[in-house]
Amino acid sequence: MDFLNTLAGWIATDLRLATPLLLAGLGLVIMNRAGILNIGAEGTMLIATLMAVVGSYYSGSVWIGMLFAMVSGALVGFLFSLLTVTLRANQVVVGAAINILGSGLSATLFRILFGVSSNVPLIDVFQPLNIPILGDIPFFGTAFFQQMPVVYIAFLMVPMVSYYLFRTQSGLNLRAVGENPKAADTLGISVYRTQYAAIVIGSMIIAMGGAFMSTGLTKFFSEEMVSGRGFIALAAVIFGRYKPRGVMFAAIVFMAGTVTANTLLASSSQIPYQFLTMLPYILTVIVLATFARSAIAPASLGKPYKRG
Amino acid sequence: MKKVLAWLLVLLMALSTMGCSAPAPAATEAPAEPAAEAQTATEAPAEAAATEAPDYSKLRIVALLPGTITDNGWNYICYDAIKQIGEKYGCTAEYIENIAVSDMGEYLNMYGEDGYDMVIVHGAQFESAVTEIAPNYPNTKFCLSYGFKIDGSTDANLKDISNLAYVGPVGMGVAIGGIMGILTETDKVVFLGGIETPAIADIVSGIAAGVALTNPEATATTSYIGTLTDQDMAREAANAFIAQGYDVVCASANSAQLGCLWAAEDAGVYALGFNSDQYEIAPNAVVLSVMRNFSYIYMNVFEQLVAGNWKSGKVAYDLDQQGTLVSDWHGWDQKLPAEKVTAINEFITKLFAGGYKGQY
Repeated sequence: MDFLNTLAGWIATDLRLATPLLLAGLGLVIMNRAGILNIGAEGTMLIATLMAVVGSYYSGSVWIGMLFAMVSGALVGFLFSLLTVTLRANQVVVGAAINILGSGLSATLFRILFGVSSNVPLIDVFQPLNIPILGDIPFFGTAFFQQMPVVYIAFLMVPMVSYYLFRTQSGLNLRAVGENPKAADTLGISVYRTQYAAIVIGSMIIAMGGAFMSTGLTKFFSEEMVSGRGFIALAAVIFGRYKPRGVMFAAIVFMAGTVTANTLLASSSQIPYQFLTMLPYILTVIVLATFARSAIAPASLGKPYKRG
Repeated sequence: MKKVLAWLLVLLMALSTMGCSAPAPAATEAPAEPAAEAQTATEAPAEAAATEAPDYSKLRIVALLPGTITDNGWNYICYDAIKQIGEKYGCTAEYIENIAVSDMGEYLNMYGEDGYDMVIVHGAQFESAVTEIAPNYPNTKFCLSYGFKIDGSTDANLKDISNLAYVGPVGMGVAIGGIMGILTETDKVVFLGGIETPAIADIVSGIAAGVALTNPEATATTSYIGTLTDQDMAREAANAFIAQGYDVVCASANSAQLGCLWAAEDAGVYALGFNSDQYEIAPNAVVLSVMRNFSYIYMNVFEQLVAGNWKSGKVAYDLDQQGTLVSDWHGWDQKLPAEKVTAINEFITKLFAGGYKGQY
């Protein structure tokens, strides 16, 4: 029983930690499927972490904060589209620029809005939502149904995105743009409009992941708090073979290593901590090597499309 | 039109990145220029001071920081110290953020060439750069913010350079450990360091000794979480310890340590703040904060410099020399069992008066 309790807590922690990765990954999948390679998820998330805090701080509602973050994501996405789709700039370079922009802009705005002090204002943050009946089931309730709302939303988005991409006409159009934009164009699909929409909506989903970090997992913004998750999400997408369900699996596996390392760290084992901080990465490499089959990227991923 | 738009956007991006690190002008190009882009905290001295006190406005000091001043920790306390010096004495007090170890030499050369009076090098990771460059600029006093282990083992690393001081408080870990030992009900306390740097390892070195002073039965665990920025990771690491029955948590990991305080608050266990008074971050968990008093330390070092008593070598501020402060109770003395409050008060008084010297 004790073991089951520990395991339930372990699963609950894993799902909670995987949520930002999953959201970022889903946003990236939508873009990648439309042929857009965006390595700027880290910067998009950083801006969103700040905007979520700002929204929550000024409105008193964490949902307004989430909305702020999504709007910021849309704006960053629009900027990215403008540069890569309309102006056909190199997507990797612009993505890198977005990361630097995110780091600098979030830090600068934070200092303008909140000043430099050691105080942390109290803001509204997401609270765990115990789903009635389901949340009371022993083991499963603790593991799956006592999470924060954003966790449920993120995992519900997996089948939704999957359905959209693989079961709807619009999803098929989007994938066609990512595979062969010229063919799609000749069939009357607006490549630019599709890519714009994919980038803006994808960036909004990425921003949700950032917002959850500063107003769900923690309770305030600090500089560079995303700490590389935007990049891990890139790996999760490839590991998940550009499929929403695969991304979900990847996010859970990536974070499982961290949760395991923490459990071992605390359980008075004699393993040196240096090894434990390495463990998540080692596990990831092992899992990748064992399970990863070759991921086939959308054929025109990262290639700017020029009409005519 | 498209080109103009593209260039405008590029310009916007470039501008927005400037705020984050406030880089000084490139050292190689303009060594004689004062760091114009660095923030200054200069203020005109009070009028009365101008007549009686000497004029300090000609003095120039700079703090070279490894991270950002909004980190709620190591860099913030140095920023706070240098700001206070600038405000009190009206001297030029600047800071530079986010300096990589590989770049420190350039900055040291720049401020040395420029003839700054005092250069604070905030972090022992810069030791090799500062020991190499300090002898070239004998008119500039270099202060390396240092962490002294309580067993004195770090003293062997100090180099004897006439214009270099190793500055830092000593014994904070003992204070933290002692308070944690009294607070715990389960006899299990944990201190989490961010990464193993001298300024964190010195605290870790005192935890077990401190706990042993007040609660020899208790298990004092110290570990490192491997991050200074990732609050989520820190929070989950603290959660893992709390799940194992640890009921007092303290951490030294800059902004990541906030995650540990929040974990304690959510789980309903005690926490201790560190570096600055962190009561307001988690009012239902943070009983007391133990503060590294760099504001006082560097003010004192500066005043010694002005008075002509500047000292090189090991400049350690012991517990009885105000190197460390303990925060106000913020009402926790009403919430805790009376005997714990008394025990903590007695412990702190005795420790800070030097009553335990030789025992740790």
